[in-house]
Amino acid sequence: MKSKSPALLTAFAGLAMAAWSQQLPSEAIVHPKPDSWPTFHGDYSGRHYSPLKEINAENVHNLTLAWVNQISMTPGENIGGPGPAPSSSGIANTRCAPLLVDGVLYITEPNTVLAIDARTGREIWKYTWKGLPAFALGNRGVGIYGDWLFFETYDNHLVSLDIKTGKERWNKEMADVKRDYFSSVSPLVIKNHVIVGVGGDFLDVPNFAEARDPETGAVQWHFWTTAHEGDPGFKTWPNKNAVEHGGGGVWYPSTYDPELNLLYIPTGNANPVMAGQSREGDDLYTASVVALNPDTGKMVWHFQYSPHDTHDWDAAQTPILFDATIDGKPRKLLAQAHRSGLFFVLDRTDGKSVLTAPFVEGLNWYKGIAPNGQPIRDPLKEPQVAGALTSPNSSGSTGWPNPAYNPDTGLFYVGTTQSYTIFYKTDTDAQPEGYSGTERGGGSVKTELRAIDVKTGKIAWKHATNIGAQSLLTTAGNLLFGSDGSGNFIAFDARNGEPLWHAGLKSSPSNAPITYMLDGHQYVLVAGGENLYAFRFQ
Amino acid sequence: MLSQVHSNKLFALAGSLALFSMIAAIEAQPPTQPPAGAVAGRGGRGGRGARGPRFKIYPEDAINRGLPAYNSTCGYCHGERGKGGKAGPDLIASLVTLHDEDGVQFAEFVRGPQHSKVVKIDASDSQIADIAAYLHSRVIYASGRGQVHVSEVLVGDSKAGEQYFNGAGGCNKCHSPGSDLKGVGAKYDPPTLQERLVMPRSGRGGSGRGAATLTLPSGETIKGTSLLLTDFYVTLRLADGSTKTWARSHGVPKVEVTDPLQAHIDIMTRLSDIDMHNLTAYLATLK
Repeated sequence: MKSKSPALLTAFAGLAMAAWSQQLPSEAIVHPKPDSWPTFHGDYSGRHYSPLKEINAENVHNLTLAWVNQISMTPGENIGGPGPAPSSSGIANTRCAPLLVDGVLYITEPNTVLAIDARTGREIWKYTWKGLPAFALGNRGVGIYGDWLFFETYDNHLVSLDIKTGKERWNKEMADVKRDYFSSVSPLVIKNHVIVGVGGDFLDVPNFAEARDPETGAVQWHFWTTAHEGDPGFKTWPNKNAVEHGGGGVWYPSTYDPELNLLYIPTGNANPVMAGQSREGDDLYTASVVALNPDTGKMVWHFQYSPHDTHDWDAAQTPILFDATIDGKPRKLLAQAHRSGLFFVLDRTDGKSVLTAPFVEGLNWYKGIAPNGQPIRDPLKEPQVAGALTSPNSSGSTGWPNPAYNPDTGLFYVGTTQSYTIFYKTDTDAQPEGYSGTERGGGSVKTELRAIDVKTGKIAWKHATNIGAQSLLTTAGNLLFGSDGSGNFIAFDARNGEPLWHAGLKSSPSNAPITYMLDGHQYVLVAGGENLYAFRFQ
Repeated sequence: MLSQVHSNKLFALAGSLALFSMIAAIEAQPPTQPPAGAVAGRGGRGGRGARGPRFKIYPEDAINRGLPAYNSTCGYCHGERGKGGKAGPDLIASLVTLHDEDGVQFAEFVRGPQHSKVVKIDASDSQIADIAAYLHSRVIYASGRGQVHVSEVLVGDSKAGEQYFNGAGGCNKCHSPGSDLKGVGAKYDPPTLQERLVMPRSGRGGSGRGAATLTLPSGETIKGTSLLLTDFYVTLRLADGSTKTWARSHGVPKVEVTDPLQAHIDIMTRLSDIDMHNLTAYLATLK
């Protein structure tokens, strides 16, 4: 039995993978090479941080356009799916982080996957999914395992493609589109698991995450984000019916700690969305981060950001993983800027709170912070029949566009809004259904890019913008790439928020920017709606 | 047609859906249909809305025929508006309803063994199709956001609202019940009044639009309306109707923007719900 040591098994696994001639062995995700961007977040940590510094705060003013590509949605020869023939209609609106492997970029739209030559911006192949009518959220991108790509269609199929040709290998239905489930998340590959998830919060469905076999697509494990009967969280719901209609969408790419072997999944809001009378209780594990063993799907810990949420504040934001010294002790931490306006730092080994602090002003929906770091909700600020003036609004103080963390500055960067709205409960039935509420009026007071000191939760710097939540990228070159919401792609000084360089795009940046080395040059890539822009020094 | 797999799953789920313990007192809500797919937008999740209509829209007359037919045929067991009752499950979250088209799958289930062994339904194809159309309208309603209960928004004290208007709120510094607010209570319904007293324009309060004064390095000042203000340029509409853009760097030229609704932005950040409801009640008296 001694011979089956983990080290030896790992070595065997490594040999097997090398012999299999993979485009992207899983080790290359644990330690990404400079010429790759192998996950939505660039690595497993969710930091959207690159150690590259050829482009840095001193020379970024010389950055110039290398190429621009207008993404074509016209179907090519690779077509799959059960729906009617795809039309050429539709304009790309890129919300994914492109993945880069071996000089090829892989990007997605809700029904399309494209391979693009990273040196020229030209399309190599395209795959179009003929889907059924469904809510078509922006798609966050592909996952890669060896020679295979994985893509979640908006109508809940997991599709596996040949990375070289875009030809479909198989597709598996994950959830019933007729129940108004929809999918948007980028699959995350961990060892031989493809981690996927589905959402849906219009018709009160229970949502879930799954691990799928990368070879066959078979389910390896299934995790309900609403605690079903037998789960300790079940007691936070009044009954089985509430759980089975409880929401908890899996809309956002997870993060992973290979050393702890823990997968961190942020979950969506509870259902019915804005009327909580049929689901009294905390409604676990909605609006939470859950830490799972990716080999078994067993939950190790959870932390709920907005218990019994009635404001549509999902936790579909990045749980960023980093290490820092707190009170003289090295800590393994997880930080999340939640849509409710609260910034949370947790110990990612056990989920215990380290810090909870507001990252915008004016929040009026909670009474205080409990000793365990959770907010204490104010029932009077839940949607009311006569209206409740609440901050923030349902779009939240931030949103799905990814924040970033830079270990060199110790700062967590996030696009923010101070907003107000009047929440109304529209369905007073004992058994409300669907949204059951709405919001009217209000507006935003200010929108700013903010840098949070992760050790104190205090705002280190802020910079006025014309956009709230926005996707960010930070680098060892002391740079923070973001936007002003008025069409400009901007390199800020990560230390103080000073804008150092900008490029006016045809439309504002719409996705997570990425960076990589290619042929000895550092590139920065961003999408603005239907166009992809690559920048480098010439 | 449903596949066998789907049918089995559907039958099993329809049978296992929890029965509600009571028929709740249900307030009348109009069964209006929001436009299909009109659920994106604010509060959405960064998406672009529906890719094609998610729900088939049925003719209004079929829905109107379906309501009484539902009440007389199904309502006893499945409750008012299909939300579940003493003896029958919710028909809105039902896989039978969600997979139905034009009443075909619905009829198949209703006349099938599982339903027939509990209750035998004696209804024509067209009646079942009408009932299905009605239930589909309820699905669409559930997927939308519902409607504000207009008649239940006036919960405040109009006298207290008047005091706040003339006192702590400082509303009377800009507004008067005898002039600009004359008849406002008749012009707007209560939720609209409430919405407008908080912020008369929808959307953003801090986008840099408003009356702007631009100061050039020479000291010369230019006045206009700010159309766009960024770190890199500012665009003003000038008094003669033209627009002009200046490049900016490190905050130069300096631009000061005065939002005409700044008082509303300020009050939005400190208004309590009680004061808001009182103000709404007061404004509603200004007929």
